[in-house]
Amino acid sequence: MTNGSGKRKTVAVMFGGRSTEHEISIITALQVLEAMDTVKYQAIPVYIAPSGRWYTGDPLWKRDFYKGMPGTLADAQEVTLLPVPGIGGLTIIPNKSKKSGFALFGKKEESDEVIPVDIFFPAFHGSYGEDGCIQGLLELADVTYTGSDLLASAIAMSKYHCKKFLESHGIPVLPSVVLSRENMSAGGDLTVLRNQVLSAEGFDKFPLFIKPANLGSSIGIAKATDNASLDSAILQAFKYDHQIIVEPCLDNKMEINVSIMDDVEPKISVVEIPVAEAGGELTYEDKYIRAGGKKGGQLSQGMAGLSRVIDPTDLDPTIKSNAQQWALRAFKLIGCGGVARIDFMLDLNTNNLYFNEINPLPGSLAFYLWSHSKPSVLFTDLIDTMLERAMFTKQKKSALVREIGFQALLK
Amino acid sequence: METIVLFVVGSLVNLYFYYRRSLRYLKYFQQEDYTGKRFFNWLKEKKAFDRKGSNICVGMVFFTMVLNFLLPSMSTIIVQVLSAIALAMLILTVRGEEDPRTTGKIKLKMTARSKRIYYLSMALYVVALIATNLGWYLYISRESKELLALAFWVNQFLLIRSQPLFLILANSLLQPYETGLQEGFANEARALIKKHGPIVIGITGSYGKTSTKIILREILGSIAPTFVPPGSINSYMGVTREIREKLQPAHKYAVIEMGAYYIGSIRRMCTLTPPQAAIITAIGIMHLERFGGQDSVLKAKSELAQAVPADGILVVNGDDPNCRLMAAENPKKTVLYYGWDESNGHLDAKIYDITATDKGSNFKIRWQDQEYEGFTQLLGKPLLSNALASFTLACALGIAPQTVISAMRNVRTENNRLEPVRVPISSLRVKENGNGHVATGEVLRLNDAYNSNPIGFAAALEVLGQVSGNRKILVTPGMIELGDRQDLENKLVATKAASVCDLVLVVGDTNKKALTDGLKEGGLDAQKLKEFDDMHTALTYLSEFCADGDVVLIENDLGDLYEGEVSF
Repeated sequence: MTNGSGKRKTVAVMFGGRSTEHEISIITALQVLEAMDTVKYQAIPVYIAPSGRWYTGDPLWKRDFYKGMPGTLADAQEVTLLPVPGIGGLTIIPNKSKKSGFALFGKKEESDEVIPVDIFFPAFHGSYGEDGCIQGLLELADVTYTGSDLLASAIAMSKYHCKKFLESHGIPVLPSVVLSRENMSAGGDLTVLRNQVLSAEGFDKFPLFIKPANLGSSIGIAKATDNASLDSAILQAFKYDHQIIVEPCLDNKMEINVSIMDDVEPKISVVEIPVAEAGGELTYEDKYIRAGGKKGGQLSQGMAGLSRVIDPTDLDPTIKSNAQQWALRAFKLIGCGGVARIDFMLDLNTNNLYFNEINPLPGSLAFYLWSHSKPSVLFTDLIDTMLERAMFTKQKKSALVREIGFQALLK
Repeated sequence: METIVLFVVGSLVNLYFYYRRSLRYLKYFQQEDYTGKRFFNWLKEKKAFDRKGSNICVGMVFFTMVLNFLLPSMSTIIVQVLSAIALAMLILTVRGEEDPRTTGKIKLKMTARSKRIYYLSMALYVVALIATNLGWYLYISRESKELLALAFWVNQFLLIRSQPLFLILANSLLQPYETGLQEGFANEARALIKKHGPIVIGITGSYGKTSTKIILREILGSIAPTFVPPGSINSYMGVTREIREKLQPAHKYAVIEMGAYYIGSIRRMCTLTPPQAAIITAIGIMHLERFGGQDSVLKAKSELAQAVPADGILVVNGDDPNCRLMAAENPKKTVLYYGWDESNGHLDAKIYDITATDKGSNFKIRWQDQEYEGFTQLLGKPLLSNALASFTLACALGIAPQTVISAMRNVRTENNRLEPVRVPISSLRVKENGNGHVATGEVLRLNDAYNSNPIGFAAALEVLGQVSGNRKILVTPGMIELGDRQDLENKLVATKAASVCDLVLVVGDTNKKALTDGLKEGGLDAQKLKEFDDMHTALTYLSEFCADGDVVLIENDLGDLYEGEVSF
């Protein structure tokens, strides 16, 4: 550790990234930055711009910074994390224009300056941040980080693999067909793909749901009601992912979400029923935009701003408890860490509950569920637990024997 | 002594006046693409030369002369006092004006180029200030203070009046430098296009370029990565910049909109992005002022057809006789005509059975003896014509027609291009100064605020007539840039509007007379006609007038260049 035990630990909250959920990640990160216990930790923002470049600095604390992008990036310090153990933090990338300025006065630029970081806190949503990519880099750098590890993140983010895996462990899921872009002919003929869907068992009637396999946030999701709209939906979803999944669309259903938090013994939150504005599916606007902005003045609060029913009293207790227990099992089976949100679908015609998806890094870290749970967990404490668990996991990992030698070569 | 003070302080005040005021002129200069001639014409047309500052100067000239005649003994001291007051007034006048960098519909963007023009023009102005003021001071005898003061104020008047010309001068001086800089960037872009080798599709036409580009982006983008400069970027430098920043090796297609700014401008763009295929949407009467005649427009647009190689693809609007003419003059291996009217000749792709609903349009396309049924959010015949152009080109590139139809369903309407949205009536209000009462309920807003033209206007009216709704309301400032046909075209379209609309709000002065004449001729009740100074007040009025279920068509929204009076 670079810091003594009495000193505050430096936590790098990482967010943004090359993902369609870039904006949402900014909202989550700003919420985390504000809620973090300042007595125990010193938080620093680490923003990955849409270009994939990393930045840090005080201006990143303010919402206005992001409104002024990309011009405002000039006020931030470019940094990077090298995939090399033992560096102890973020490496500063010297600003070229400033460097030449210094050179004029004969001052030598230090190129390997490091901003010390004790714990990394990924607050990304979607590609490159929630799916194991960043986690892989953090593993290579051999640093302490919060949340799920590489494998858990990767399984959780692939809707198809995740379902198949949990289904094999007895958790009910809706049937699904996975389509690969390779099966689209060069001329864009969709017949093969369409037949692949329509010939699968249980897929003989519309409406159907089409979604990119590795994205959250409702982007690229469409409902098909006939052959024509199925084709359009397939084309639409392929814009966001090379793999898409098709599911039957329940005509009378309700979404139920539960959050699980890693701890000595993982904790289960209350359940919630998110409410779509226009009835039917939650759209990107429902999730992230409608909650704020539009009414003026008020700032968008991301997932925390969605209209929802938390801990509904009139929900069948067996369904409630099934959702909670299956969520816990899914969390453990996949091997998640930190906080995850598990979404279920309830068929209101049959009262059957299905696992739908797991978010290893849910919007707003699902803190709105935890503050209503019993016992209630405040956002600050939730972050605290995540950081404590990250340190514990790192310790456990460091204790593993790792023998690297050259005996095979010397024989 | 006092005279030196007047000359020195006066020069500084005048410089401050320029420092603030020229930014406001720069905004309009920027909107005219830094074209000196167009900017000068705008100045003349809008009578946008300075009034406020020159009035103060003229006042001083007048007072100095009168005082010298009436009260020769007292005049020196009075003129000095008045001069001090006048200088203070100059400062206050220009200080009270808005900052164009933060206000207005289109703000002044301080780009590297605009900064260069601004600073150089300022330097030139300083030279002019010193040279003329010093010249007068040395030329006229020190003893005749009144005469010196008179000369000073006449000189300030001339300087202040000529301020916008310094921007034009600075720009002309910078021209060789700008051109050199631009060519360097353009050559980098050329090298990138050559290296990555996307199939380039050029699009031009008097209207519908951008819409066609956006529809084609949706279709080709569904099949393979496609490079498309965003918005209505269609200039040599705009496209250069996009290529340098965003072109990727994976891009299979590049869809490039090419604007005809002058004869030769498209030829120049074709050296940047040599097209293998091209779409020509229409050759109409838009931007006649820039070219000076339909023949020149035809010539400018032909450059794209010429640039397509002999084995390339040329897709032209078969409903437009000029497009047909151009295609006949530029034979290629594949020439395809699209349209809805076969009376002009053979059509390779024909669109028919178009029905407008409040969600979009249902249509049928005939292509290679097959009928395809489709749906799109797009409304109005011109947009569907653009969609058909994209369909034709995509099919010619070998994409399955059924897939193209499917992709067309995913096309979203662009802001401001006859976009149907249900909005609460209160959202029409953009200003906080209405009378307070806002009607409740929703209206169907058809926003066609982007660059109106006679065909687009007529089509929007057709849609307004077709969609179901309560009262049909039109808000428009009319169409511009139509040369000497402007009055006639506005009058014609207004006559059509009279039979469709239950209320018409005429905005601004530019086309007020032509529109009201046409509306009255078309038989619109005088009570159903209202006039407003600007779009804000018109919409604020609507927020009080509208009732649930009304349909509001916003046709054209002019920039600051044309709307209302600018005062300098």
